[in-house]
Amino acid sequence: MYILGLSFFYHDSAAALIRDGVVVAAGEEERFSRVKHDHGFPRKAIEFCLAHEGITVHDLDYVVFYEKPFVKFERILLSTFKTFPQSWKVFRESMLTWLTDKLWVKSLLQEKLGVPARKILFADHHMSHAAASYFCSPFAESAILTVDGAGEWTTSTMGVGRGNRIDIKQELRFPHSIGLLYSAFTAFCGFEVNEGEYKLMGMAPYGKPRYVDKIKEIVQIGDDGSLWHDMRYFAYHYSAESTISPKFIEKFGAPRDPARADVHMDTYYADMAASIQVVTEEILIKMARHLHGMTGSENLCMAGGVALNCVANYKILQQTPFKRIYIQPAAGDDGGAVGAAMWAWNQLLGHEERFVMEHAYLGSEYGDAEIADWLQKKGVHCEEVNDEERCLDRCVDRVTGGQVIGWYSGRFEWGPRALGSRSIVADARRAEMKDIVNAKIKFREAFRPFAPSCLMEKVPEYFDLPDAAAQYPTRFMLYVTQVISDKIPAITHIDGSGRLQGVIREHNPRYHRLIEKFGEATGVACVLNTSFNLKGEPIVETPENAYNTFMRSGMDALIYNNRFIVTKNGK
Amino acid sequence: MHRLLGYLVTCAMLLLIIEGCLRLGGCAPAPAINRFHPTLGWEKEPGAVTEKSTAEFDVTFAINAAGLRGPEVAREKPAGVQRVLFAGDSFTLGYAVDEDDLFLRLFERALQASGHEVEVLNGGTEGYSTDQELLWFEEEGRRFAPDFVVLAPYLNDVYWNTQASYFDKPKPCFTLAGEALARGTAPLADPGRTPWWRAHTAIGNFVQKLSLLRLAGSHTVRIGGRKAFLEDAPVLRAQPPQIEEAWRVTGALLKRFAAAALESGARPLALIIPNRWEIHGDATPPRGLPGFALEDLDAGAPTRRFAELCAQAGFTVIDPSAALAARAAAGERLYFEQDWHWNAAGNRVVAEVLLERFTAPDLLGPGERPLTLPRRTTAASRGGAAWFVVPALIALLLGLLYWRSVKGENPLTAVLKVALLVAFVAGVIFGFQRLMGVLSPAASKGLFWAVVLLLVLFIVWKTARRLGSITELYGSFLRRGHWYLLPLLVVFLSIGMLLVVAASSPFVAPFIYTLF
Repeated sequence: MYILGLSFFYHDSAAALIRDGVVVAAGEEERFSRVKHDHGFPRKAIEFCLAHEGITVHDLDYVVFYEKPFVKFERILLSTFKTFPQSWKVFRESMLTWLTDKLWVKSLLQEKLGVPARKILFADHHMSHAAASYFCSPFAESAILTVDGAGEWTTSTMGVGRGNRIDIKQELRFPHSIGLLYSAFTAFCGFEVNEGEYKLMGMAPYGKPRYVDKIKEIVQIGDDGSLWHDMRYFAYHYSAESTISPKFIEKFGAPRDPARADVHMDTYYADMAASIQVVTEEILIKMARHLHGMTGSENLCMAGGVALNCVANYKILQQTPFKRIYIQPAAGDDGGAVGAAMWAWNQLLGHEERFVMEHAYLGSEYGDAEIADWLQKKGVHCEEVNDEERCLDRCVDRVTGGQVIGWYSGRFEWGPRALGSRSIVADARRAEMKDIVNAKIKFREAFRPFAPSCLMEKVPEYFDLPDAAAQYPTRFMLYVTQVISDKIPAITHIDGSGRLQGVIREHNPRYHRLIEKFGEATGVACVLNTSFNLKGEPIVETPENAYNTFMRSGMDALIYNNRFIVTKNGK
Repeated sequence: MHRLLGYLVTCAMLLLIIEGCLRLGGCAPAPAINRFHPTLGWEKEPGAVTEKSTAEFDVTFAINAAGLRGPEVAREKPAGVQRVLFAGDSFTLGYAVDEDDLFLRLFERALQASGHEVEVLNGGTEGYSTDQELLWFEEEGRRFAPDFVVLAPYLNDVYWNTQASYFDKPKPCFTLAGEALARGTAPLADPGRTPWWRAHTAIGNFVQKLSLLRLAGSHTVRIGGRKAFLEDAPVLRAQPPQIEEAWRVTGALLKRFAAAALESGARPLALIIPNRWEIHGDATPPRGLPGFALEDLDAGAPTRRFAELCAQAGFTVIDPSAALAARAAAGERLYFEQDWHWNAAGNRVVAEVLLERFTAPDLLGPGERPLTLPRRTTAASRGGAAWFVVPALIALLLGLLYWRSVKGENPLTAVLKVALLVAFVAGVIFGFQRLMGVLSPAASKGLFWAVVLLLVLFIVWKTARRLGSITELYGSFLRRGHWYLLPLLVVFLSIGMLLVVAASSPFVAPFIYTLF
């Protein structure tokens, strides 16, 4: 049985295909369309999923959309009415998009895919999140916490998963939302909403949490993590342009000029970033504790955009009774595509068989022959090294020699993180690498940290995470832990932390071997890993995308499938 | 349950669309100007004002406090003024023309302009036949103390003079006992108010018309296997026996009318109204006689018969058929094509005939000044450059809005781009109007409905799949207790459907997007 899960029309459109309950292909549309956070209909992602299995839409048993558009429409109507006439502008704009596109998901699917109406299902937004995490987790039972900006009405849920069933027990409703609170401060600190949240998280360690109490004056936090916003300080429920109100500005001062955001580390705003990070962590920890009290489970599945806050994730592990956490690599709305399909398979259709998403390598891949053809057709000079070990040695020589390489190998990663398939790799021992990669390769903000890729078995040598192999979020770069080694300064953030990826041999043998060889050569089994893209662009998908990005950046070499080495000027 | 409600709301939305299309097609209901009357069947309601709109004409009626169409008049005749009271049906009422184009008002103004102290009162009522006109004069008209009473009979009066109802409305009816007219004295039964939806919606108006069409079936006879609507039968060469009997009743009614006029001190005159087929020699017979050939008709027979009966009754007969026929022969169109009443030009000719007769020495005599009819007021003279100014203003406004919403666009280019779009839309609309004007009314009506049909089919084709989603959306809102938002949803979704259609076609898009 084939089920296609889809998420689109908000941000990060995606498609995921499951065959008899197993996720066989998944990808975000942005990878194919080359439009960052593409929110349109994921035509190319769907084509990829179907082509991967060699099937057509007629072979699909169900197509499941990740949320219920009518209920969301209801929320938008009611909330804009409530704030009318302040909300007239957002009302006008949202109605235009809803009336032309978003309301017609069912007919759109019928038209674009040619599937009959009886095959089209709709899952609840937060149920999709919950399913994306729990039904992909290794747990037979688990507490479930979903947290994001807003779904239909819900902004957070607490539930429990047992076998093939998820029960949502409690929920927090719009406009009270951790995600929207975090986004309000993202905008206040000069970053773009739905894009700059991870930048805010990266900025936080540069500041001191001086304004936690002040923030708590505009939000009330319950012992169970429930949240009540004083809406006089926010504008996201009625404004198309701003998430914060004049009263917010009166209290916290003027928002930072976005032009400064990517260049300067303004102390006040860094303190503000640190403060909202602390508040967010406090809310999430309280929620998790309450949820543990409700369920008694030692397992926790998390999902939703806020679950990409890897600093908070690790603190939940440390400061709550939960012993194991599972977060799917695409924890945001893109992951809803997988969740919707899994919800249909397990919960709706009642299948007992469970799937575990052990790794994130679910995207498209290009074989050696395809890459060779493309290189030849484009007249790209490359060195072909048929011996994998020899090729890896050449890569390691370059990295240890201070070069930065583009690493393109196998199926691309599901989710926003590069995990060794479409990565830029550099020497983690060289402190200057952080600035080199930020300035010459990625052309991005100087304060942005880089992540380490470390052999899973060696993680305890470098990070304060003793049982790393048992923690799935380490596979997907979803924990920020303290670095306990001084040998990897390039990936150590200002507060001594690192956003760890533990690499497992069975899941990505080539990448694992690359790090292993680097370790053999240097004594450090960690490399600097950042996503293979330039600032503002999606991660590369095709060999051509990789080549173009390589040529436009300061990278020294590009390695395709550990076989083809492309350099600039033959060096 | 909610699904059912969803279907119901979807149906309501469809009805709204049909209502809009019918209104666009000239089927909008006109507020009724008539009310029930226990003797006459119905009468005009004092103070009523209404607008009537069809594919051929748009007119406004205002009924004065005395229950007459036209300006307010005093019950008491002012000293030194001679009153001319017209009694008749929709021709006299001026069913299809504005007050300024109506023959009796043109007649009045020309007389006044020539120095006559005269007042013309319009006692015409839609659907009246001679019996009602007689009773109205006896009960109401005589109270105005007219010096002249002009009765304006038309061929369809003949049949209805023998009927106790006019389609669905009761009316008085006289019978002949020998030579004497007799009528029941019991008041007529009030048919009750027309249901709201029939009186105020285009769909109701359409249904009403269909219902009248069905009722018309009971007023037909078969002549030689062909169906004849008896109202039109007086033009047939071989008249059915019912019509012969009706002419006898009509003759008696005319005699009584003339006597009543004389008794009240007024001189009776008869303005015989010729029919369209008599004047224009139309290629097709009246709609009520579909199976008959033109050779089967003697279109001038009713006029001749009326003239004869009126003269016998003591009326001074005014027959405008010769004047009308002469003008028609000169190429002037004096009647509407779909409707059978006089248009403004026809009314003007009749006014001229009336003036000529009334200024004869045996009636009013010549005035102090020469007779001149007031200038024609036509829609073409109104509005001036509005056709250019309105689109230009729209283009400017939209262009500025576009400029404000698109970064980096030059303001002049922005306005020019939008102006081109608006010019295209306006060009098509005005061009279509022009084309409609050039074509004959029948062809233009056909073209209009063809375009409407094509548009509806296109919209249905483009949005058919979304109808299911709409039903589900209503169901969702009802299930979740937001029934109060349904009217808003109907409006939004109608707009949404237009946007969807616009987005699907480069030809339709400019029209829809310019609209928004």
